[in-house]
Amino acid sequence: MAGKIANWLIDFCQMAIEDLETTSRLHMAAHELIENVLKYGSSPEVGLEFELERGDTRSIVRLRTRNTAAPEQLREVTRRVSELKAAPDPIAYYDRLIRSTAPVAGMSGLGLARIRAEAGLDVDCSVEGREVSIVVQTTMRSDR
Amino acid sequence: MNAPLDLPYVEEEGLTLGPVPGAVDRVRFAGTGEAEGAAVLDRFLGLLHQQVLARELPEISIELEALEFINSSCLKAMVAWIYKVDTEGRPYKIRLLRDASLHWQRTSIATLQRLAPDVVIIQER
Repeated sequence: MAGKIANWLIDFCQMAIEDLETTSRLHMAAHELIENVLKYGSSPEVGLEFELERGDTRSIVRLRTRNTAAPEQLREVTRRVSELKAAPDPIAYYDRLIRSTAPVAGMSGLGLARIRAEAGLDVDCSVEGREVSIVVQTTMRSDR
Repeated sequence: MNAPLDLPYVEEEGLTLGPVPGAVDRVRFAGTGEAEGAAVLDRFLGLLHQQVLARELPEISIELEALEFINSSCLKAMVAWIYKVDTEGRPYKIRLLRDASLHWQRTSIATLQRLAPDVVIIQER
């Protein structure tokens, strides 16, 4: 399910972005974000947005998911994103996270860190009431 | 000379996992691994680990070129297996044959090697 939605989203992105490297990075991010929404979302009302902010020389591409979640999930995602943003070296942070979770069975908890470290996208989140919005973005050279 | 690996050919949850026909030390992964595929991959890697230990193979190769993508749940299954091999005496090496033209394979396979550099060998195809 997540893969189908991610593939559909990336097909759409490719109509606006010619840079294959950027779309590959977005593809990874879309997979992880959609998986999170499906896993932690507490209602069928979810949002998935793709945004391209064109500049003369640089453009910003952005993916955003919105979903409601249980209070403990909201706290957990806020904590994870705060830690991720505070980490001076995203790859070192990701490697530490992988090592610490490797012997633990069950859910990975690696998705957001993977987006930051492997896809090289900035990750942020905001919570309003019971709704969490996760935004990932990167800049790229403008095509035009 | 070892007999071919005695492993099932698995087609489940978007993943295809199985031994390379006739090979004694090589398996092939294909498809896409999402959250539902993590348990499938985990089970297969458990069987593979047992086989490699029982046959005292010094190395196992995994062809990944046809693996289109795996999400972090499936990556975690790979992490758990590699961590186990690395922390339980490093009885064998793991050669990952990747397609470096796929962005995720470049980054994620490098991640796996950083986890256990004495165990994981990366080979480009």
